[in-house]
Amino acid sequence: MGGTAILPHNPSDTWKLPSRGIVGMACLIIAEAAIFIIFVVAYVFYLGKSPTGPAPRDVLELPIFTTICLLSSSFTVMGAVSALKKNERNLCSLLLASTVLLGAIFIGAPRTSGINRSIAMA
Amino acid sequence: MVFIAIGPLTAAQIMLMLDRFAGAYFFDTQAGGSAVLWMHFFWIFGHPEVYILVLPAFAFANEIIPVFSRKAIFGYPAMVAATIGIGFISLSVWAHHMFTVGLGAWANTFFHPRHNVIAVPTRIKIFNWLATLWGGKIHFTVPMMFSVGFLFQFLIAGLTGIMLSVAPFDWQLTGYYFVVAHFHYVLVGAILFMIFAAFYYWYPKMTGRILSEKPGKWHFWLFLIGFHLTFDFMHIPGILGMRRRIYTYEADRGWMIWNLIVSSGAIFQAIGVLIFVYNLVWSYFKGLIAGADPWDAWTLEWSTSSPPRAYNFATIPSVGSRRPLWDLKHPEDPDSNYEM
Repeated sequence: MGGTAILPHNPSDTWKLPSRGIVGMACLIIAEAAIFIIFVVAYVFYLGKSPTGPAPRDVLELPIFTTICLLSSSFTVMGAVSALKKNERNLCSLLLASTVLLGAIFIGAPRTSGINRSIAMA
Repeated sequence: MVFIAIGPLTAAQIMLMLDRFAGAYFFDTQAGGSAVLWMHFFWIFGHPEVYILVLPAFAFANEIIPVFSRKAIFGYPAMVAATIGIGFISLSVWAHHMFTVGLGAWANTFFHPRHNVIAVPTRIKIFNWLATLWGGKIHFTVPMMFSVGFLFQFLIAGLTGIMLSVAPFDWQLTGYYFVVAHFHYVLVGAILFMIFAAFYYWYPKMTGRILSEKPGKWHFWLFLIGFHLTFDFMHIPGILGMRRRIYTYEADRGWMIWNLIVSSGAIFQAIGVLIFVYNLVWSYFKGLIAGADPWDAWTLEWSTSSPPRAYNFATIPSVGSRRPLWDLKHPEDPDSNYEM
């Protein structure tokens, strides 16, 4: 350090930065929410506006199976992290593989419209 | 604010891309889409964006004005609250850009006072900066001169902003040069002036050399005169009916003399910026050696060498107040005795 000396550091009154992980995840959620709120607003704005169709129910279907796969993958990846913290590497590998499989099913499952994927992701 | 404001623009651009390349019609009015929806989405981004740009300028002012007034900043908690208030309020006032598109009287009546509310925290900031200057031992260095210019011009920009937030007034001037003059008062008169101030203030810390003061003052005065010639007089053709985005007009409109003054101001500004660029280069090689703390400032960066070493501080410093270097220089009367 050049220049003037600085007051000595006193660990007892240290102000700690908030966790980068929590701040980063909060920022990601806020940004994603801002994007998808606009999509939902556009959807609601045009709901029932088309006199000739197709209406949303004509092109959208609830992708129940793929949604279950998508949501389940959140649990398997969390389980993988927990397993890694406990140093259970085999279980971690199994859960990570399950996550990849569930993700692959979600992305690769046949569907009538790409819109379904967007709705499920939203 | 960035995370909240950029998202709507991203989503709107995705929909626009679908319109252009995938046969969708979100915003295509010929196919049942809505251009007004695009305007909403754009301005949900566009208005907070102005504050995203200006909040760093406020931060520069908060640093520079107290140092050259030789006083601690006045009303720090109110300053912080005003900054947060501006951030939140700016996210809910977008439709005052859309008074003339036919939102209806109720929507206009709602958004008109909403926008005026933002003037409250903004004026708190102006008041606090003025109160910081009041009774201070003001040093008119180049960064301080730009900061004083910022104060005056930001006040004018805010006042014309309030004028434009009044729906009947806005109806007369939306899409005219008055609006162009208003937002250039914000972008140039406030933001760019504080960017210049910040350059003069922190250049010594970045390079180890002080930007030369004489060309700095030439830069300030030429840019100030040019700015006011351009953007003060730009309001007038707007009031006289000159619309935005036109490249020529008939000679008998009465706008010629005003546009001549506007253009002459641009020449002053350009010369000022050229002097600034020259000063940046010249001072980098031959400017006065800055030392660690050329402004007798109070924040931590001025306690390190100029430019700072890669590791900044060998040990983590302890900060007991908002002016830690003041505390170190004045152990008999540190701020930490007064601050919570």
